[in-house]
Amino acid sequence: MIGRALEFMGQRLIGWLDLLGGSWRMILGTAYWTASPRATGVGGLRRQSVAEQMVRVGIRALPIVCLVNLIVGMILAVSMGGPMREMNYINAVPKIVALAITRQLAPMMTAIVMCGFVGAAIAAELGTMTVTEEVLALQVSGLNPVRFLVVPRMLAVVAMVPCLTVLANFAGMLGGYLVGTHVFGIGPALYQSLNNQAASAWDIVRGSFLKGPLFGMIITAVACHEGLSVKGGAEGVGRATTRAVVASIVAIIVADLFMTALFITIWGK
Amino acid sequence: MPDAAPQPRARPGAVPAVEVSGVRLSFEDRRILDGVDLRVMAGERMVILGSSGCGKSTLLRVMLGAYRPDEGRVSVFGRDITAMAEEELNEMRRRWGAVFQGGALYNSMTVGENVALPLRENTQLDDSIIAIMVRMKLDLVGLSDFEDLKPAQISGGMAKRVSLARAIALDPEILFFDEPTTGLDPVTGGGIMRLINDLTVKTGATGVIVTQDMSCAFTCADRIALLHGGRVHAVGTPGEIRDSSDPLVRQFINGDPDGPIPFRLCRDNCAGALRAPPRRKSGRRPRPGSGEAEPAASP
Ligand SMILES: Nc1ncnc2c1ncn2[C@@H]1O[C@H](COP(=O)(O)OP(=O)(O)OP(=O)(O)O)[C@@H](O)[C@H]1O
Ligand SMILES: [Mg+2]
Repeated sequence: MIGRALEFMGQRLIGWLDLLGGSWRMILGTAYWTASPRATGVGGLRRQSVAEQMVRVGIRALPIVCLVNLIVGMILAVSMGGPMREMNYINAVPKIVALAITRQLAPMMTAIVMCGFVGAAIAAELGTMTVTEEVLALQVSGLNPVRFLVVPRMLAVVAMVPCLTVLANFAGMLGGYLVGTHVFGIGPALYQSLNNQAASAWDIVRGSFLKGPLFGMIITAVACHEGLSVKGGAEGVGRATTRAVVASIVAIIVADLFMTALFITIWGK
Repeated sequence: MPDAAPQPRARPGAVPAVEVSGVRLSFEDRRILDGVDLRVMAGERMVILGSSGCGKSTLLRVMLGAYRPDEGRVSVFGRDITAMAEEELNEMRRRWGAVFQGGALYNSMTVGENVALPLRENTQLDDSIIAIMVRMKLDLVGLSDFEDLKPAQISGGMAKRVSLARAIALDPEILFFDEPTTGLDPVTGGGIMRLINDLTVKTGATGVIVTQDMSCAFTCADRIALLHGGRVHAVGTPGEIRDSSDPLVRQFINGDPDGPIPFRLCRDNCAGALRAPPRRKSGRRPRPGSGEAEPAASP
């Protein structure tokens, strides 16, 4: 009985280590193919497909990311508004929303939306390509699948997540503003000035450009690893897609904790 | 017969193009290849026959350097590819082309872009020259009008022909085929066989053709190798194979369900269930590669 339980846990552990190792290899591979002396010219970086992926990743995800963050800002304001009014401190609402959005929620919600948006799409796409032997065909004709499939996606996602996060910050604060001014009757000018006291450009910048790329890297690395290691037909693709989304959400939350702790250690707040 | 397997019909001055020796490969404790020895001479067409799931595609992938064998070595043009670094192997890979079981076209690209890709990535040719070459290769397989379609818009037989056009884009010295005729109608299949023969004759390329289709084997082969139980059971010219007295070879060419190669639909006789209408649901066919209809490697 205990043996079985240990075996089960062992297998789980191996699974997670495999995922970790595989994802790490995707990141190293991308770094290698982006930085290698062959990055230009024949056999090098495929700029056009990076641009293609950026359009796919960025433009299509934009409305959803903004909508989700807008609503998160509204929820935050609605749920804080009641208690704050009871405490006679309604003016705290803009500050709470601004701080929560810029420090935590915008980077994390954007990354989680992107897990479902591009993580699932990448895992399913590469998984299907693996099953239909497309990846094998690339490999045996001397075209490295990492350079060909992973690099453009990784670069595109790493570039787009920060941009989306910047916009997500504004969408989130706008959500708070709408609720604060219309539901709780805070004057627009007052709301804006309170908001600006709490939200700092620095918070937005480090949330977007330090957390964002890391989250983007996690999403793509996990999705690409899962997609490229699919076994067993359409069913396998489904399983890989689910695993990619779940694993990258978990990884992002863990990474967010570490990043936040790191920020506090370095900058004191 | 296994002992009396004819020696490779070496033509004067012929050298081995692909030489597989003692290759063993297991997947999760299941030994798929168990000491495969095979020598394909330059310029010949070697057909590898075997029942479904016996490891033909696996052997092909080993020859292409996609799977590294647990033991044994594979030499292509006299160079051991099992010990090669990826970079070096990629140089070798430019000298061969492969057509996979399902075509394996890149679905996000058009037919023309599929054929152009090896040229774009491996040569410095101008786009206009690449366009002409793509047109030539597609002409060769009779598909020049379909250049701008996506792979999802063409039929399975057409996909295999496009895949062939892509495989010959760089004028390879060896062509590998995985089931080139399986799942095609006889006329299309015949067309593909003729293409294989014409191409290898015209360009002098070596052909390695994996199949379970006897007509393809006898039409295309200079020599036939029969894969069974993870080994090459017999090698010979089509004539020698046809006249063989080996029971296993006889069973294979006659398509006889009774013989040394065990045949069963699935573990708990589903064929019986098929005849009883109410229990129809369980009468499923074994999926290829699902291991159910495999010739039992262990008795
Ligand atoms: N990547 C893999 N991991 C685990 N098992 C595998 C893998 N690839 C193939 N196998 C197993 O190896 C066996 C041989 O597979 P292979 O695809 O080589 O058969 P095949 O002779 O080509 O069959 P078919 O004629 O149906 O294509 C099968 O039982 C399959 O389940
Ligand atoms: Mg096969």
